[in-house]
Amino acid sequence: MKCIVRLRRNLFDEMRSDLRRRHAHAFERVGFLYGRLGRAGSIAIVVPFEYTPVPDEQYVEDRTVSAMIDADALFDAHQRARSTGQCCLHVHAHGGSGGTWFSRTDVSTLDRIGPSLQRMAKSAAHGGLVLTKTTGACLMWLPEETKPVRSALSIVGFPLTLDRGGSHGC
Amino acid sequence: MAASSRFSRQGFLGPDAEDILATARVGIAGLGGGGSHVAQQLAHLGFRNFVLYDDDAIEESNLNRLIGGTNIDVAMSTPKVLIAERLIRSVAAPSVVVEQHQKAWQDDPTALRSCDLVFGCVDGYRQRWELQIMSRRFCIPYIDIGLDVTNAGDEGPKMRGQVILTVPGGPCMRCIGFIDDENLSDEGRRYGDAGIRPQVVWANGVLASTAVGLAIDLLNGWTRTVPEKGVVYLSYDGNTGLVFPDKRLRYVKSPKCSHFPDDEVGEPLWQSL
Repeated sequence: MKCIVRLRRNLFDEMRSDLRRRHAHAFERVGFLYGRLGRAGSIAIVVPFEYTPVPDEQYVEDRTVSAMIDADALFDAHQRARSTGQCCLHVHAHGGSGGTWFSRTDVSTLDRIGPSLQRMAKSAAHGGLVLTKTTGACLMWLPEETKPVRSALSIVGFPLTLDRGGSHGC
Repeated sequence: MAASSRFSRQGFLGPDAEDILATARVGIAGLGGGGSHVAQQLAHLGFRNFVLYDDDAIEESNLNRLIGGTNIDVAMSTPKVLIAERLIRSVAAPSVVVEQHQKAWQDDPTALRSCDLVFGCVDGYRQRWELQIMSRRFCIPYIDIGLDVTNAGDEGPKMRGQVILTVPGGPCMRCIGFIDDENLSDEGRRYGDAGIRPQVVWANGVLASTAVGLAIDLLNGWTRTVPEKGVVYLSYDGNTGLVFPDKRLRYVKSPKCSHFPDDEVGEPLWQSL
């Protein structure tokens, strides 16, 4: 199954702005993006509608990675996915413009978070989103699928940015 | 990517324009006088992924404006979507994908949901509003065109039209005063008694061309401008030939839509009462 994440541009701008803020000890910030799932035949369409930053106090000091968040931050995201059935995406940002992809550390993190969110809200799609100044990349775990898919990303506004993510060939 | 010779005269749209247009999946609901113009222009420009909806077949009264329609089509009652597909394939690159649905889009909206951009070239406020609702739920920019001719007595016929571009999160067609409860209910009362709606090819062409121009700017931002109110609402005065921002835009106070809450997205949820 293919997947498209359709993100309103004002939400994209809000996330970019939040993730740029400096943190006392973490090198980068993280947030969670919530949305709902729709379907267009064999295509899963994720429409996010709310971004929640991880509070400053929920970052753990760890020199091995750019940012480590504590169990409370993860618990809150899982709890919300479970109680609402909403899609949940782990969000962070990379520098620069244009296309990007997750680092090995990012993928390793998502490999843990994606399936665990899937267990919390089985009928939703979950995963990760990494942003650049102009676009981003998504890795999504879809309902009843064990392997993640590289999702297309549309940033909907003025202008409308389409990134097919290498998988959405429709 | 450098523009190929096919598109060398539109190179000012930017080095990525050809790829962007080839990638975008565009839906057109209604392939009559307006929609057929839109389809033809998008094919010329280099769009390669089309989803077409129209449940109607051509009649003789369509020949005054339906681009691509022929006398033979009238004799054979060719479905409008097939005429549009033929028109697109006659000018687009061989790799073009045309998915045509000879039905009302509401009967099976699946393909329309998958589009990156939707054009509404339909009759009536109710259909327009339904397209607006679908496009908001699935986070799709929506471009609406329409034309009407009214009789103003001694002053003669008045031709008026509109081109509206709304994007999710920004003002919708209710926010800008184009659709309200009154015109929706008036239309319900007049249902089945509308008579022949006056339509002419040149006015449809103006509206379709304006709409296609908005779509290109939306996709690649070549004019480097962003609509001040987060929505585009252009009016067409067919008697003077002018297209201008509608005066109702002045009354749009907020860049946010007050009719579609942010979280009312995705698959509609049904629950029994």
